Amino acid sequence: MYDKLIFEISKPGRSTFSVSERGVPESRPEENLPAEVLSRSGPDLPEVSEPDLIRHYTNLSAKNYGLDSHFYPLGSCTMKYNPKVNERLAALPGFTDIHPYSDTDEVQGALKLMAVLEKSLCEISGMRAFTLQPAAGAHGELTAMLIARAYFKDQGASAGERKKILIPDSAHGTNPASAVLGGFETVEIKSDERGNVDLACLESHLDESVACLMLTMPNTLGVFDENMKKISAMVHEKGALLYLDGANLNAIMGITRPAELGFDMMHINLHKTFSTPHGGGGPGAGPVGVCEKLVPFLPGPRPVFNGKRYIFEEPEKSIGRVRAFYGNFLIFVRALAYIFSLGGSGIRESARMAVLNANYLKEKLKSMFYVKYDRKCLHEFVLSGIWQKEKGAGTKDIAKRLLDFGFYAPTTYFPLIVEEALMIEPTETESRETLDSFVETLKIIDREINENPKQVTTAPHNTPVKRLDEVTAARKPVLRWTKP
Amino acid sequence: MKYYPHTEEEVTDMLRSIGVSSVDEFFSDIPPDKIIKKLNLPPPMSEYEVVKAITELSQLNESCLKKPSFLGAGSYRHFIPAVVNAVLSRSEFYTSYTPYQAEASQGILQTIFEYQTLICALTGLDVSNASLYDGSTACAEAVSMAINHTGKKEILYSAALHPEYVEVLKTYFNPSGMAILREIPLSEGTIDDKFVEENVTANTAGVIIQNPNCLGFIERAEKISKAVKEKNSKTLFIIAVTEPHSLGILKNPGECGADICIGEGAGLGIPPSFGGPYLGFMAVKAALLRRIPGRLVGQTIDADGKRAFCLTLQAREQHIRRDKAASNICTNEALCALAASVYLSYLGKSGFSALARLNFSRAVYLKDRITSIKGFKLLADRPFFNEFTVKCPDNPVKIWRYLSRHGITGGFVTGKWRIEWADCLTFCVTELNDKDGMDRLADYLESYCRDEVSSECMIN
Amino acid sequence: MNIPEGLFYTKEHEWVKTKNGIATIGVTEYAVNQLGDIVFVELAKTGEVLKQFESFGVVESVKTVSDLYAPVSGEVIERNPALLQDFDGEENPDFHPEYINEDPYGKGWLLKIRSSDEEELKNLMTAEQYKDFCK
Repeated sequence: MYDKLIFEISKPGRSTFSVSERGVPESRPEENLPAEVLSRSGPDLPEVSEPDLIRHYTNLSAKNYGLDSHFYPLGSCTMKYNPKVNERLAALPGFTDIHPYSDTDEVQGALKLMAVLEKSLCEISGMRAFTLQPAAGAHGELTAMLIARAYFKDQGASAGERKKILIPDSAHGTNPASAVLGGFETVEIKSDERGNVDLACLESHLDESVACLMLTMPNTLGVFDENMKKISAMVHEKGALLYLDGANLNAIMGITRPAELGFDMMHINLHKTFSTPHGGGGPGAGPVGVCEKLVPFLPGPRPVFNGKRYIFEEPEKSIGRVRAFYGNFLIFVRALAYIFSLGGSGIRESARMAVLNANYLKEKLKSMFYVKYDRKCLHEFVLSGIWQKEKGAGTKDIAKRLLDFGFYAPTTYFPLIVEEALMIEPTETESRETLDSFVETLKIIDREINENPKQVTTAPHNTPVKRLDEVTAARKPVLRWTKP
Repeated sequence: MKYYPHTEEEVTDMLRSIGVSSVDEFFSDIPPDKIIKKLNLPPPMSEYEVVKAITELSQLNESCLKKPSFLGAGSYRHFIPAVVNAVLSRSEFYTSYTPYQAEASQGILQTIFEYQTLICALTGLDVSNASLYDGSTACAEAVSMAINHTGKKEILYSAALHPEYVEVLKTYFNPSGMAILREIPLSEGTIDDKFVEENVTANTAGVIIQNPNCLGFIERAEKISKAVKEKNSKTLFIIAVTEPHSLGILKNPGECGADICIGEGAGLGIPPSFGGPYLGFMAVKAALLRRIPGRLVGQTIDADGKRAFCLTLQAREQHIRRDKAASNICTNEALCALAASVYLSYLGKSGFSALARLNFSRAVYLKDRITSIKGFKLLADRPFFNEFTVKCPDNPVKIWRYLSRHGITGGFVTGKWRIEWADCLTFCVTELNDKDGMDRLADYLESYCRDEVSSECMIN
Repeated sequence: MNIPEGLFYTKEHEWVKTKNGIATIGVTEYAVNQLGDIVFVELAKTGEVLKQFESFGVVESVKTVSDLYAPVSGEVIERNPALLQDFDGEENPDFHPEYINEDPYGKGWLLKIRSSDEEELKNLMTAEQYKDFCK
């Protein structure tokens, strides 16, 4: 199997790239710039021919699972199919080649696209307005924290008065990280034995020093909190805000609206719910939607229609920018194309099918694995590998063995409140055959654990590399290639 | 159009196997009065209709594509070779997930490892991460690093750091007071180094300069670095690079004494895209390894002793460290980093230098032509790379509109950033601007000056 | 589970052994089992003064990070050199974080401090009490 680094196929003089004719007299840096700012030789980049370069990357791609070729039941990630028409549209020069500082009159299509996307997200979420600036969900969370802070200050709260953010113990790590970056303290709220927010715990911590409760809904266990209304009432009674981590929007879009459930602000992950590709880790987009009273605090500038044309406007009490320029625009193109394709009814039906697929899988797997919270789930569910662990092969091993059968593993060891967690989210774009095949494979692996656990604990066997030594990678980090 | 495959029979069948009569039952925990029946959005469109609707939006933007552009100002247009998109469009790359399961993700992991290596080569520093959202948020992350590492709060930043980057810093740090931001004034278009000498103290966590700066001028980064370290060796010296092509000619940040280099990598293989997705890069000195935010790919071996790559030092990241994480970043700009890797590998050592030199030659040509027109002079007699700022003999907004009417996007109206620059225009020249285009620009500037009181100007 | 007699234990799974006013501190086998393979340790510097139950560092494994809490107060007089990845920027060729996994009560010791208050041991658990605590 191909095993070279680009630097290892590089040879001086190999490069096939050529620069255009200068067309103007030469100005040499050596003669025109002070010696003290000049590099002696320029950066040490590889030199490869175009054919070798393409061969290199093409061979590397062969060593990679992708959603187009493999099922990715990753809980919390919503790995749904990435429509090809979205890629085609995001490549249009009228989108890719426009400079962010173009005269707005010349890029009305761009501003309109953003405005229409925002309006669509408002309709889906019930929120009054969105900022499209955040580049990812975590970025959106931080933006929301800054909005909360500005809101309370504007309300007359003294510095440090509303200093706490309440976060459930099942929350994604970005939640507390974002809260702290926003300058708040975090307080962990326990989940009860049904996987809901423990109301007594919540009550004991809810007071006027709390700025916000951050919830994921459905939560990371895949269940909808049975006390949603009560929680919203409790939070608002203390004058605090209710934030929705919208990572799980795929379960409820078109079914209910977060704003109507009581959420004051939320972020949406376009790279999850709205089918934009994950790209091996990014780019994504994490637009933040807010209720009426928080609109003035949104980051600016925002595209608005002034009756005649689209212009950029600064919200009156804006927290400021959270990034340069306007957001991950080409991601917006894909998301809007997706919304147009599905339409209102398609969005709703996608949520229904996502939830059907998850329940179908759960029904077939719940006798094989320990299920800590035995409740009807929405679009994802969490199993525990503790029975298997006791027999010698836990969640990590099961995940690795799944790779051998051509499945990317589900999310493992999250949420933290389930031991040996295995979080499964099939999404709506998977056919029944794929789901059945996944179940059959888990049956095989479960049998292997009973009969020959070593086969599982030493997995994977069929991937381009076998199980990696992650300990040495961390003890002796080698983070770049160096010339031998 | 829809993407779920379920037929009516399948739905019925699946429901039966679950023991439920309707999909509605799964939503029973949602308060019934909050269930909506339909969304107020248009009905589904066919693929053709989607293409038509979205393409129409793109066509509204096409007038500016026909005009040669001299806009830079933090987003630099460069020619993107076909290989970049050929690689990026491989679905094994773009539809893949974050490579947590390393054994099934060696492709992406290796490209990130190569990317990290390339960024270190470019910046002259020891460790690069796998990418951040963009240059502005990378700048904020650098500030976080500086305050966490030194335990101090004061950050001195250049008045010629991209003003939108400064805005981001203010948004992030002013409300909580986690960092105290102070501006370093300019003297003749570049950093006032006396100010640096006089104001770096034991309380200074970091000093940030941009090179080339937002006016396009080249800073004496090494000199400033020495001044900073002399006053306080613990202060982190941070260089922001918004135009990485400048590193084809300029001494790299590592050689200039930077502890951290951050910047905007979009110019390396990513089109202007109306501002995003872009590519924040960050490289640091080895001593700061444990403070660096974002993902890191490390080299290791597998059970058979074969070389392999995996995400490493994850314990610093949010999904493990949670409220104690130094950064909250999770999703990054992996695919954009891949674009940059392909771009840099394709251009190669000789190509990257040659391209940088080409940019420089052309920029000098344009500068000479413009400054030979009466009334136009460089804002400061300072060296530049491919971008420079000139004082104009008349309102730059009027000049800009005049150029626009004649089919040219004439640079950035610098006054949008600061009042002091209200009489300036900032021009950027890359390999996409040929001699004819530059001559036309200069000719029109000449004719503008000639006809300064012509009827065209009276209209405005 | 190895829980040596003669040592005192904290709720956060640190141990301390005192002799002639010098306290040696480490993490217990229980902690090590929870953490997995240790990859890195961050420790208070020599000369720093620790306060009982306050954080003095961090121990990092592949999958998690844990804060370290001082069992007793005192001034740090020595750090285990085998646990330091570098000495002021110079890479340590004898970096062995695995000592903590292999021998948490011996080779894997973290710090030696000059303890300031013998009475503080009363706030800790004995081996018996810690054994019960871990059940």
